[in-house]
Amino acid sequence: MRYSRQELFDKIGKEGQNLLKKSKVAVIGLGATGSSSAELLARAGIGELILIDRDVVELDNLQRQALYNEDDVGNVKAEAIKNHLGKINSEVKVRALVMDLDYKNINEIKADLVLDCTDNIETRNLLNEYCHKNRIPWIYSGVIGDNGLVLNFTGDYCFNCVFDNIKPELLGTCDTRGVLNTIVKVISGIQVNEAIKLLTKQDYSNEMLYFNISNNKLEKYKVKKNNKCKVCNSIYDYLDGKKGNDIVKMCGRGVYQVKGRKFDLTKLRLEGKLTKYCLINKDFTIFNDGRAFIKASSEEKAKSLYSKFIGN
Amino acid sequence: MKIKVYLEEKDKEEFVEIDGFKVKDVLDKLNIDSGIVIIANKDNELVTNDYILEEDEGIKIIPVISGG
Repeated sequence: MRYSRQELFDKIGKEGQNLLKKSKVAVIGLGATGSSSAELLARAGIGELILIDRDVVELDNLQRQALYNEDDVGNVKAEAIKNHLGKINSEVKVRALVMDLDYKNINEIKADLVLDCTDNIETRNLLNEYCHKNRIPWIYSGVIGDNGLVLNFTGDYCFNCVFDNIKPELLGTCDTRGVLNTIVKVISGIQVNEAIKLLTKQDYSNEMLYFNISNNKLEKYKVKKNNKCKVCNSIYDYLDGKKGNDIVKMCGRGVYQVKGRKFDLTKLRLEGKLTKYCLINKDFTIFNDGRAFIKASSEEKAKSLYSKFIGN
Repeated sequence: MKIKVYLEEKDKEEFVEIDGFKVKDVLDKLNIDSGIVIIANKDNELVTNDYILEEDEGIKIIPVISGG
């Protein structure tokens, strides 16, 4: 009964619905696109969701990160989403992981399909290598301002074939350029629609779909494999730990994520709100996995503050 | 060589005169860092900065989107 309207759609039918029920999808990043895509997948009846995010809900997220509400502010996103999805569709098995994806823990992603809903190129590079090596299809999505894109990677070419010379430090962010919640919904819808097509064995897009919501223009760009691509030639610099940073500037927030050793949060002599996963005050968010978000003007300052207040 | 350039971000088209014959020459002329854009040729195919252009060919300069 729950999926009757979806099963009536002839491209899905009962057979397609069963395929969705047997599928396991990982959603990496539970911000704007991620929270929306996770919700759509749950409502569509995906069998199992693995949800991964490193962050907590903030007030300014609520403008575009649709599944959260005011009660979630200060909570880790992965847990908050899991709670909400449990009330939307209790039939979906949800595994929520509070972590920053890196080459040491990426093996947690054991799924039929991965949805990229991250906010940085570094993680996408890592994801690309992992999915290429393990032959897992994945779908890249991105939004900023009034623009967004979706691109499927199923083996013919990879992310590095297209984006190998990108300078992440020069790219605009939601903090410098802003982002409309409307483009978030459109891009999430396209991403999940492509996911459903892939999982139900329909024809899917092999082009980069680029949409501008101000002029309602959708462009489709053809993608070719680059025969010199390192990843397509099985060279995995991110997966091997040769690239990637222990200190990361968070998407346009004047906040740095510093990684250190795991510790007991209750033993820290810092004021703040203590939860199961983190301690939050106005200057820090410290996670029990050893990560800290620190307000700082530079990487060096962030490292220095980490050492001063948290230790080495 | 004269090249027609469509700037996706501004939804604007302009003509650019370049001395060379590659995409990177167009980016240099427009003072656009190649690390923040990808390029599509006249057939809407994504191409590299070393793609060789023809006279009056049109290209599209598309901003890379990393936000989510």
